[in-house]
Amino acid sequence: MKFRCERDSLVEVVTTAGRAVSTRSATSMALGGVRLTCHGNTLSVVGTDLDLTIHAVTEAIGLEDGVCVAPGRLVSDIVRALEPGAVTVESTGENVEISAARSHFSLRTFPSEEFPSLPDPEPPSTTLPTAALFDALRQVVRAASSDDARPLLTGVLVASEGDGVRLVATDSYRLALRDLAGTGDLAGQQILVPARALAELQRLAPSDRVEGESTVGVSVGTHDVTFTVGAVRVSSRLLDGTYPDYRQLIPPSYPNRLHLGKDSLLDALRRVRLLVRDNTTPVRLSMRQGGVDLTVVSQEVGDASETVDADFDGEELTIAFNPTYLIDGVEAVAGDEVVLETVDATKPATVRAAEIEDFHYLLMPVRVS
Amino acid sequence: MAELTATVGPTSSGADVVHVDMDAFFASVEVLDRPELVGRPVIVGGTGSRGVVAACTYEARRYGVHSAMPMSLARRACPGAVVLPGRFDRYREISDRLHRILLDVTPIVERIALDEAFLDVSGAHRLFGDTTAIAHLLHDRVAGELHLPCSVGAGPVKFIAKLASEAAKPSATPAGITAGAGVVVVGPAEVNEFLEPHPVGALWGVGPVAARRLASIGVATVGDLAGVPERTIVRLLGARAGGQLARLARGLDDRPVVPDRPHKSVGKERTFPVDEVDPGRLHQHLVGLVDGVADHLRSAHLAGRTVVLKVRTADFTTSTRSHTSAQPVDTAAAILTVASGLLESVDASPGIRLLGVSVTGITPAGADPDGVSEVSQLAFALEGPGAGPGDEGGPGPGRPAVAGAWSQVAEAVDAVRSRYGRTSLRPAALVSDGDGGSRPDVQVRPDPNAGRPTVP
Repeated sequence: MKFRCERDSLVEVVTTAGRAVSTRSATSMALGGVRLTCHGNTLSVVGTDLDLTIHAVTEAIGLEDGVCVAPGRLVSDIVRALEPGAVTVESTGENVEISAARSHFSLRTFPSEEFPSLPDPEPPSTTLPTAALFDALRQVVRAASSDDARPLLTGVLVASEGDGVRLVATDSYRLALRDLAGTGDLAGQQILVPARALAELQRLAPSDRVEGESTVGVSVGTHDVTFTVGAVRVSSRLLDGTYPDYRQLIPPSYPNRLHLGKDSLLDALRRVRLLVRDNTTPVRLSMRQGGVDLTVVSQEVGDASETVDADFDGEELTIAFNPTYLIDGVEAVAGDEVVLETVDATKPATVRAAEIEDFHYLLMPVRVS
Repeated sequence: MAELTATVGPTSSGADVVHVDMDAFFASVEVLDRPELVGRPVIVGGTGSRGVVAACTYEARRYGVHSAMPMSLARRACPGAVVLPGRFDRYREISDRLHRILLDVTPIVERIALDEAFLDVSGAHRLFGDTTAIAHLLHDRVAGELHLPCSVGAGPVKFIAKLASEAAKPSATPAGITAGAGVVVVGPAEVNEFLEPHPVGALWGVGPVAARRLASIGVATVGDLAGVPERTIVRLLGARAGGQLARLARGLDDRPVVPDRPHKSVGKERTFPVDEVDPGRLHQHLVGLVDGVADHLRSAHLAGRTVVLKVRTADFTTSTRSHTSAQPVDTAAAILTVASGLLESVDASPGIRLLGVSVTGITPAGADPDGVSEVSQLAFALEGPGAGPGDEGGPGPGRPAVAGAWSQVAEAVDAVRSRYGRTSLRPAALVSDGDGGSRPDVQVRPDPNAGRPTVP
């Protein structure tokens, strides 16, 4: 295998694919590497940990077709450090040679036959609008659990809902729900996608290669799902199991409604959070006509309080939240205004936008005595 | 001079170490809770065929029953005895109350077992008077508030204090029970006189072998020992043991009273007789270890967020893997989920020599015993097996952080074990044919290792 490629393109594909490579000690050594395949003038790079697979393609000047499996992290570090310009990569027996200008590296490779054979995904069965999907990922993925002891909750539910698709994630303390109405067609299916895969998909958002793409292809298999964004494919094994019935968690109505500016609330929350020294210190919200008082009392550190103007309908109420969870929800709301709806100090509250109804962030309070 | 002393108040007399030891603790608690047992011989301990006596009332001691005696012998010695299995939750509850009384006097309390503790009262004289006054205060508060008998000894160093509390205890002979002094204080000037009549076996570190060797040169009591040059003792017992003994015989013991520190981690590990390569058997060992860790956590009312798996391979390479959960865990099911996930990433093919599981990031589980305000993040009531283990419908009283179905199972397991013993209920993975059991008998006698049940 031999090809020549622009440094920046090579860094991008190797780094992107390398994100799927397991950081844990792999069962197969080859899993620690990325597979580079040169075919004609196409260079494709794949990294996988068997659960998550990322496949990235770029143009190169192909000099000799072939395959090699190289340590992904090291290759991307090396290529990134090279002088700008063309980089030549050639596999020679057990090594791969990387040269640019006057630099030359020779790296051991992994036996390519030990790299798992990955089936080509089915062609996309449906598409989702790129901008809306990335917006939804930003809003929802953060609410998924990172606790492997609760496997189902580490996933994001992607389900048919009405004429569109709904994304739901919860870590049992907060739940984020976003509807993408009138888009995609999952044919009534619902799948549970590991949040890690969607977080990787989300990381593609700012990259140039995604910008021009108006849609993301989605192909759902029996045990896996593949998202195709331009020249990058993110495939993931699906989580098995029945997602908890989240609908029953949403209170039918809220007697109390606080309506206020998103930025003023966020700024105030971030200020009072400065006193939070561990993740058990809550922020108390005392809601009354005309405003809300935010208070953080941190035993060893001190107190902070701040008042934010707000419209309030309902009974005066003090309710406490994990400030980070609350900030996560408020940040996720689209628009300049945010509505916080509550029942009482121990029932779930909802954070949502004032006008648009497609996003709900349900949040359990912290009980304070 | 007298006036000057009076203005400073009572000061140290040199006997600042206090040893508080409950009399026949487990048995006394049983009698307290069941007044119909007053005056009867009561034995607490393992009731199985290989059980041992954990505690017995003085009425039982009249028949020669003593701690650590095989239960079968004890029953034979005292056929009329009421034999009860231990109720360790209850003992622990009372032990905690005892601890709080001790902490009222000084923060320097070293808990040795459920029923005994050392105190360093050198800083408590201004408030509570001299050591004798403090010893009586403790004795009377325990009697008045816990309605249980105890003996209090005090001395300049730990082992004198311990011997003093022993001297303060009641004694039982076939003829009858003699009440003890309750409190014995040995001042620095009285140490030699106090020690002399004690048999050498009373000194820490003197077992039957050392006692026999000492007897061979005519040393039977501490007084005899004090008259022997140190180098003779060293020649007889070796440099280490001999040197220590010579010091003890002169009343010297430099071990300080170390106040209890909160647990940093709770763990168990096991070295295999033969290196283990079979993942199934490793998992089985893991189940046993996790069960022990969970049991220990809950019995100490602790939970932790980080589960650490320790693996030593046949070539003695030791590695650890860990996972931190959002919520503290204290149930075997929750710890096992994490630990087996960690074990899956271990390559067992080189042979595993040692496997260990520990939980760190320890926090108190459940309600704060001192009633300090507790803040708890409420959780959704999520259904579905993969959603747990976690909160189900909000926290119940007592275990806000780790409530849920598995916690209820764990509580039930604890209840059964506290009644029928540690081996009465085991994870199914550990039950073998014939049920010889992969666990040894439980060591029920409180000892310095109490709270750290032996791991099979």
